[in-house]
Amino acid sequence: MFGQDSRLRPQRLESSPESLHICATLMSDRLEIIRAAINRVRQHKYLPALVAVTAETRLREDAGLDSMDLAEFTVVLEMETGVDVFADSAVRTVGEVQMKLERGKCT
Amino acid sequence: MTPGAEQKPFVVDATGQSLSYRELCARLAADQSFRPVCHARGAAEIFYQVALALSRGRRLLLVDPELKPHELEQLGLDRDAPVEQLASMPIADVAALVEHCRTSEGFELELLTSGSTGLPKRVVHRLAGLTRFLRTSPRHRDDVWGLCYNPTHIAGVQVFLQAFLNANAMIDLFGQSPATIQQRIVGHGVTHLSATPTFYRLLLADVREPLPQVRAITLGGEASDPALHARLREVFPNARITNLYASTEAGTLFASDGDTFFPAEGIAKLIAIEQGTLRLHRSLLGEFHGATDASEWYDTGDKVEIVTTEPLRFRFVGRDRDWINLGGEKVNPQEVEAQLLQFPGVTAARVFGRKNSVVGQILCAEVVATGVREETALRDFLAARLHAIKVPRLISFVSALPSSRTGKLLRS
Repeated sequence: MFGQDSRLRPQRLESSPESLHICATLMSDRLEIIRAAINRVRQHKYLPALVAVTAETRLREDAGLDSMDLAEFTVVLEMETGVDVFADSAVRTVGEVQMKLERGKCT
Repeated sequence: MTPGAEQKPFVVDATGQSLSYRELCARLAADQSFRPVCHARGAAEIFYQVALALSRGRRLLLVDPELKPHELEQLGLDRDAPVEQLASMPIADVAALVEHCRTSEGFELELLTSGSTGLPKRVVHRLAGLTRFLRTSPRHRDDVWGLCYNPTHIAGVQVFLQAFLNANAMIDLFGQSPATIQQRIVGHGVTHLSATPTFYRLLLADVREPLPQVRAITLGGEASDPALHARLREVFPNARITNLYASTEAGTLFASDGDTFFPAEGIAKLIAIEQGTLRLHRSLLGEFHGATDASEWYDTGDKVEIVTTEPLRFRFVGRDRDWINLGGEKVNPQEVEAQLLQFPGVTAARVFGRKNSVVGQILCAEVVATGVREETALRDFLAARLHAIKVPRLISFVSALPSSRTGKLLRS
């Protein structure tokens, strides 16, 4: 269940010189978290998993998510990271999701 | 009717194709078979069948093509209904067709809805019950309607009737992406939209610039909010905005430009508010197939707050009793729980909605099960038996379900 896989649990950050390096590592972790969330939703629709996503991957056109799927994707991400990526504005690409996750944690 | 009416498109489908009203007349006049149960997919074909039923004064049952065989069986719809032979019927022109349909006697439309006991039920409407707020006039001659609701649901049908009985073009927008919807609104010159708050929120989240040619917007199916209205005024600066309240059982009952409803006198004496819920006199309702409940007042389950009593003004507050509103589609959690309990090993289940910023609520389930906890198999089981929207998006296996002190299952 959510949160039991420690790889997915968000790291605590402090403002220090090392935090930039940790941020960079976390960006690729976040890509993985996002990809896993997309594939979780795709699996529910009996679609094959996406092998890779990039910042340019569009959630609707490329990842095949419709509005209800986006809702599920958002909730799954919120449960794993504590961040609601759709809170103030829509996100259209994986890159935009990454930025919102980063903004939610790297303060 | 002006010469242009004949060339106007009837319903423009997702691929951009349509019959013209002239072609519609020809097809309706020559059609020699009528299927009393419509399983068609897509607004263009579904509304053609409604137009056929109107023109010939027949009863038509609309079935959502997403319903699963199990659900159809429960409704007694798993067997094909016999096709009726029709004689051809001369139709002089579009004006004659519309005039004939406007007063169609014998026309009845049957719709499906989830009953309060979890079993789906059938409701039959005559034209009068479906056209309470319908306005036909030369003023509406050039309206272009966006079709944003499920065409087999009451709201979709009411929009169709408003458009068709004014011989307006209709542009199918249902189930399309916000970007496509925007393109089509602009490209086809849509002037009128009627949709759920969820539809508008999704559209607004993606909209790039204002849409000044839209003249009227109505909202229905879910509770709206002032923030959404403010956003709508920015994006649709020339549109009049109205909230509507409609149900499958009663059709459209109230309209308001804000969140306070002020029922017309004829309706006001046919509604009652008891213990904060809205009840409707049975004369407002369509007929229920095989209705066993003969009570005079129908409890809608909608919670209202009275603003003034004389004249009656009220507001909708809170959620439907136990029901989950998924962007306009109401799901009865008990119906889904009943199916979950049919899966081997499941001993208890709780189905509930979870708020999110995208579509209002998504459907979740907590399940207590013995033996192997197989989410995929459980999901497959539900997907085979229920309309896709009733399959919970998030399923978690738990060791026990929360309950109140009186032992009732807590859903919120």
